[in-house]
Amino acid sequence: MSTAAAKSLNLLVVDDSAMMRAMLTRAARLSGLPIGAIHEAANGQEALALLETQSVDALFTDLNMPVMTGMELLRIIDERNSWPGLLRVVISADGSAAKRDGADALNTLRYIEKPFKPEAIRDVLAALL
Amino acid sequence: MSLPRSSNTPSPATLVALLPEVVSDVAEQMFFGWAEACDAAQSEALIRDSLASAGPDWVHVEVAFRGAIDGVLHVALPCDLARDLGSAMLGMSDGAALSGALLDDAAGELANIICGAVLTRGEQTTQFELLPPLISRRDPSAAALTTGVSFFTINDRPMIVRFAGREP
Repeated sequence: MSTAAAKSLNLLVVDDSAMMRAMLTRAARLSGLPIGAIHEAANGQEALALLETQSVDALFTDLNMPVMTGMELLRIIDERNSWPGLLRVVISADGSAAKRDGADALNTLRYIEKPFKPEAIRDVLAALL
Repeated sequence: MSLPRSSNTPSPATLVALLPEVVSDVAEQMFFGWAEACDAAQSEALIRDSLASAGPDWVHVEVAFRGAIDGVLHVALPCDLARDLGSAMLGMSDGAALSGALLDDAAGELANIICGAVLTRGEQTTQFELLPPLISRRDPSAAALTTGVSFFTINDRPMIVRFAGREP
């Protein structure tokens, strides 16, 4: 994404908590970085449906969610290979090495552990750009 | 599902000892609040003040977890505190604007993050699973009278936490 200086990032925020989705959306909007559309999904299944129909550059996903977990979502994205340029970020209260290793194996670029300060989102977005 | 155990699995008491540090970090980083542990007498006075000023409406959250240690984290706090924490998280100036559903969501997320952080910092290498938060509205007595609770103040208001874990 280093050549995308003039491009804005379209985000997909996946979390079963409406509060977390709103907080992440706000942090992205206040980052001062070029952010385009921000789509929201409450679980992995909703996220997959959005990925099929929307242009998304970066995915921020929780792990523990009903219907389809974040790890299942990352696994499907990895297996389908339909979104090879999709930047993948995990945001989870589960910071165990086992989960981090699992996410790494599914081509996750960053793993943000809760609790985090909103500045962490800006820093990750800046790195993605 | 059986999750793998580690030979250095911490005792539940070790995880309980992490609560003050974790609650403080979660309150500060996610909710822009100031939290610290307090004793039962301080908590009782704060609960009395809260009941007088905001009424008996408390939100209770239970987060069950499985892994090297199985158990439940129970968090109870006044609804007005949950509302203010949620508003702070979203940068809203008026806590009253937070809907009831978002208030419950804020309390659920607070408990979820506390539970995840305690298990992560305590277990570090072992795998665990957090179940979705169960949220209810009750007066504080059910939580305050239970044994094994830890008392906290967040922004000078009371919060009760009970971490009940056992090795499976």
